[in-house]
Amino acid sequence: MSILDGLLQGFAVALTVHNVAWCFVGVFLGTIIGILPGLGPAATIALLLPLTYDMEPTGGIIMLAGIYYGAKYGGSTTSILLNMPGEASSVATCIDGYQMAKAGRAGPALGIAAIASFIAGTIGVLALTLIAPPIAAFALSFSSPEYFALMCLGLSLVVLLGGDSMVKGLLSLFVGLWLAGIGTDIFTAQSRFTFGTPALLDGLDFMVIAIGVFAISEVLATAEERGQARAIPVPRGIRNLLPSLAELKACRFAFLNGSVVGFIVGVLPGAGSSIASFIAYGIEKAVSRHPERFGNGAPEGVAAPEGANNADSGGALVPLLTLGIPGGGTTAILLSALIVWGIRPGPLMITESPDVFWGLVASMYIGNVILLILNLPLVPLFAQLLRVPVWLLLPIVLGISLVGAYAVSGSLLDVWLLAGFGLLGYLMNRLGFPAAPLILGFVLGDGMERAIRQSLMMSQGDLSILVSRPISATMLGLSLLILALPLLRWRRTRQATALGE
Amino acid sequence: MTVTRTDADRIAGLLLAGLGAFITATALEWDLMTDAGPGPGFFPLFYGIAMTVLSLGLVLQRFAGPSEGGDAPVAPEARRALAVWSILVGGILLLPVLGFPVVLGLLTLGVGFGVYRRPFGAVALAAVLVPAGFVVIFSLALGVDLPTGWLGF
Repeated sequence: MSILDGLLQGFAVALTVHNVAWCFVGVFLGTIIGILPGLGPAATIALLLPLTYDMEPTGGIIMLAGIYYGAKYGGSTTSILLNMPGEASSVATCIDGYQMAKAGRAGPALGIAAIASFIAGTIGVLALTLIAPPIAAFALSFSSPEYFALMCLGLSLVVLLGGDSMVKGLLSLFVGLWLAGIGTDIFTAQSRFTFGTPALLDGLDFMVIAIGVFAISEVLATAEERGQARAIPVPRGIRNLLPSLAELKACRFAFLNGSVVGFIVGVLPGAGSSIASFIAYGIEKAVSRHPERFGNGAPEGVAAPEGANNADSGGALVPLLTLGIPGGGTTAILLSALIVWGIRPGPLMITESPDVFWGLVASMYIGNVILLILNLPLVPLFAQLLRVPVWLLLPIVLGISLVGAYAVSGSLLDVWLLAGFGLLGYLMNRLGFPAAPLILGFVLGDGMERAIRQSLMMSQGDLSILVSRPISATMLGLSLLILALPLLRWRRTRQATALGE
Repeated sequence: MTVTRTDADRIAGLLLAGLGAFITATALEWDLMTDAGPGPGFFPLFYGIAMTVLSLGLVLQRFAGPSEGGDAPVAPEARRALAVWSILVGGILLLPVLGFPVVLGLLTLGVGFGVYRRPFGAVALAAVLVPAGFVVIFSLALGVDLPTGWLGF
């Protein structure tokens, strides 16, 4: 099936009444949680996932993906009006967006953010449409050693880019691998790390960990902050939200810059949209004829990061859908959702589940149009959400978390585990241990163990199988290089210090 | 006593080293290699050893020099977060007795009145309306099972 045929089939699936409705629900919820500080897309998708188990897979993934990319549209509203990012990906938007709002240009700043998000989001989906099928076709030749090497490469990138300390990132990853190992061994039925508790023989449920580490820890982090910031009012009427022609002209390179940078960074596991938005902002400032305007309300300073964090969504779905490797916490939850529905993301997904793959891709084009419509005329309405008091929001999130954890198996043990993982996530955040490697370690742990054990069965215990095959050798070499980078950097710094002295 | 960021790193490193040693010791009790291939202890042994080594490395690093946060105390504002977490744990303890709607009402009261010191009237109203909304949306509309208490709801 050609790309065009696939896309047409996808639109036939995505344009059914049900799927358009799920797409709308997803992007609408995404916009809301993007605007609300203290509740991110990972937490929301984790909270809603237990409620979607009975849904039809195409509609379910269309809705959850809508929350994922919709939140990035909403995040800019809080950045511009409050100088407080609704999402991590919108941090860079605060710099110039809030300055524009303070100067009485809140409407055009929101308009530029929406237009940049739409253009870059659509370019990101177009790139996903064109790049995913050839990557999936290439990955069809992969066997267990290549999969093991690929997971090592993905996880090492997540560890490198996921936080300030690589040691802490690796430790977080190993805790995730250990949590994945709790339960019954897939090959020998040996019970592992169950502490004699029969309820643990089936292993820990991903949803309990995800809701705890993302939702409960976000509630606890939000509870630390006192009071509630006051938002700059949004002018009513679409005309007051549209940027001037001069502003749009100034942003034309920023739209393209954000799209390209966002997509490329999105493909890399672990990089995430906040890195993409800062790189796009940096490039925009570096090539600008008037870099002094940045930080003082330059429209390009809003367009570039907003474009990048939206194009990132399309990029992040490339490794998830074609290789089955999620690059971050939110895509890890999307992976587990697909597995729950009986769909295995990877090279065979396009041929085995074309309706789900192409339906999702096509729905993202539709979702971007819905988001543009929602975020231009309706943004004053959404901005009212910033008035919801935190003391009311927190018990609601706690309540949804309890319902979500209990819905997994109807057991109070899961609810206790939820509280434990919530505290763990909060402490990790406080002590600088990134949560994404833990989540990815948990999601990929089973697959990684299966791949290494199958590889060694193929080679009768000979580890050289991992380096005697060119693709796995290259990927393992790259992983080692990535893990050695901080050591090389440390050595260079020491040499520079010694020379200086 | 104030716990600094460096202290916290040392404590976390020691705890993780203990976990790594436990994983390694447990994995050694299982088969590492069998005739059919690697056994159940094979994979945990690798990450158990790696976890122990890296955690001890982190501890030694923090004894050799301060962490990035240095001697800054670890989150004096964490008290409010831990208060909210304690309220959650208290609520879970009461779940099998009082059931979900009552516990959610108490959680709302605890967070709104206990932690945020909002006017009691407004918080009490929310403590009635929020659980009612949950029952309508989750239990009645979506058919989701909510934890029930001794009183049957």
